[in-house]
Amino acid sequence: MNANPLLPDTLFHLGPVPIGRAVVTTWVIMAALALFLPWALRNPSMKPGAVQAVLEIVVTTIARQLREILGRDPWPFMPLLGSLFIYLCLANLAAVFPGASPPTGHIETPAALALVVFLSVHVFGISSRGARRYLRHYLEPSPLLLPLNVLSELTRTFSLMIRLFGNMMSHEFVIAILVFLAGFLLPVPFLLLGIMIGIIQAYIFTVLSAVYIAAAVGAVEA
Amino acid sequence: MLIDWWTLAIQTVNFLVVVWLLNRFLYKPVRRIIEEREAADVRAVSEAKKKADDAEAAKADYEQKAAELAKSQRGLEAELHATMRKERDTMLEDARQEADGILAEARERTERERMEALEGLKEGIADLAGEMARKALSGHASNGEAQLQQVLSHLDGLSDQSLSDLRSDLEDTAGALEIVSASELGEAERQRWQSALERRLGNGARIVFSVDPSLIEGSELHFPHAVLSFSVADRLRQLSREMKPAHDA
Repeated sequence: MNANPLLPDTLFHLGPVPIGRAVVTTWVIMAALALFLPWALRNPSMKPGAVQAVLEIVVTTIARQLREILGRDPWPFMPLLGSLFIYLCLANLAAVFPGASPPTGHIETPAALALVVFLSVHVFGISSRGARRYLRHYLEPSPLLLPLNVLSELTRTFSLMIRLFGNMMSHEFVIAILVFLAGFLLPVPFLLLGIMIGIIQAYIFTVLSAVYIAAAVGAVEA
Repeated sequence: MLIDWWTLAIQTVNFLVVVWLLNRFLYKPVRRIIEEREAADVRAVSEAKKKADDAEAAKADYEQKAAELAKSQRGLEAELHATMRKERDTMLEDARQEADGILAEARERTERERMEALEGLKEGIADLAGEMARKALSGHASNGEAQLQQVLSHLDGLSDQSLSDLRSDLEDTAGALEIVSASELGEAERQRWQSALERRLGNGARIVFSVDPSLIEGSELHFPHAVLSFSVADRLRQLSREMKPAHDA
C-alpha cells in the first residue's frame, strides 16, 4: 500500500504505461465478473436457483430504484447506472481483502467514472430530447445564466468525483493511521464501517448520476 | 495531488469494459428471463382469463339451457294440465250426459209408470164409478110412480115409533113436508104423492113440491127436522162415504 494515497500507486509499467494498484484491482474485478456471471447465468431458468435468484433480485432492485428516480423505463440506463453501482460496490469493498486497496481511493478512478457520467448525461440528453432542445436548456430560464449553467455542469461532476474520492481516501487514511498506531486488530471495526461507507458511497454516486441523467432526458415519459 | 492520466484513461476504458461485461452477461440474460417470466405470467393470466371466459360461457350456456329446460318443463306442465283439464271436462261432460240420460230415462220411466198408474187408476176409477153407478141405480125407481112406491115402501117399513116421530115433527112444528124431486112431477103424480103420504103421515101434513136437478134421479122428503132421501145423489154420497175408509186403508 502506498503511504500517500494522493500519489499514484504504480506497481509496474507496460512499456510507457504505468499500471497502478487501482488498475490491477479493477482488472481483478473484471476478471471475476467475466468468470462468475457466465457461470452463474449459464442456464437461466424460469425457476431460478439461489445464485440466479440473488442476481435477479440485485438487478430488479436496481431497476426499480432507477425507475423511481428516472420516472421512466430504466432498462436503457441500466448498463451505465447499474454498472456504476455494482462496480463501485465491488471496488469500495476491495479494501477488505489484504493487499488490495479500493480503486476509488485514488483520484483517477472517480475521475474516470465522473467523466463517463458527464459524457453520458449529454449523450442521453441529446438522444432523448434532440441537440437543439437539449442545448437550449442551458439558456433557461435566462441566457444570462448560461455561464452559471455550464459552471454548474462542471462543478457537479467535479463534486461527484471529489465526494467519492474524498470519502474513500479519508477512510484509507484512517485505516492506515490506525494500523500504524494500534496494530492489526483494532482497524477491524473500521473495516466494517468501511464496508458500509463503500456501499453508501456507491449508492450516492449512482443516485446522483441518475438524477443528472433524469434532468437531462427531461420530462417523465407517458 | 497528482493525476496519472494513463491510469485515468485505462480506468475509463476498464469501466466501459465493465459496462459491456455486465450488460452482456448480467442485464441482458436477467432481463430476458424476466421478460420470459412476465410473458409466461401474461400467458398464464390470458389462459386463466380464457378459462374463466370459457367457464363463464359454459355457465351462461348452462343457465340458458336450464332456462330453456325450465320453460319446456313449464310448457309440458301447462300442456299436461290442459290435457288433464280437457279430459276432466270430457269425463264430467260424459258423466253429466250419462246422468242426464239416466235422469231422463228415470223421468221417462217414472212418467210412463205414472201414466200407467194413472191409466190404471182411471180404469179403477171408471170401474169404481161404474160400480157406484150400478150400486146407486140398482133397485132405484126411475119414474114418479116407482119413486112413490119406493118412498111408501120405506115408510111402511118404518117402526110405529119412527113413523109417529115423523108425524109429531110435522104436527108440533106446524111445518111443511117438502117433496124434492130431480124432475118436475106432474099434477096427477103430485095428487098421488099427496094422498099416499097423508094416509101414512096424517091429514094435517102440509105438502109442498120442489125440483132439485142435483138429486140426479129420485126424490127426497124434507121434514122440519129430518130428511128421507131416496135420490141417486144421496146414494152416491153414501157409497162414497162407504168407500173412503176402505180406500184410505
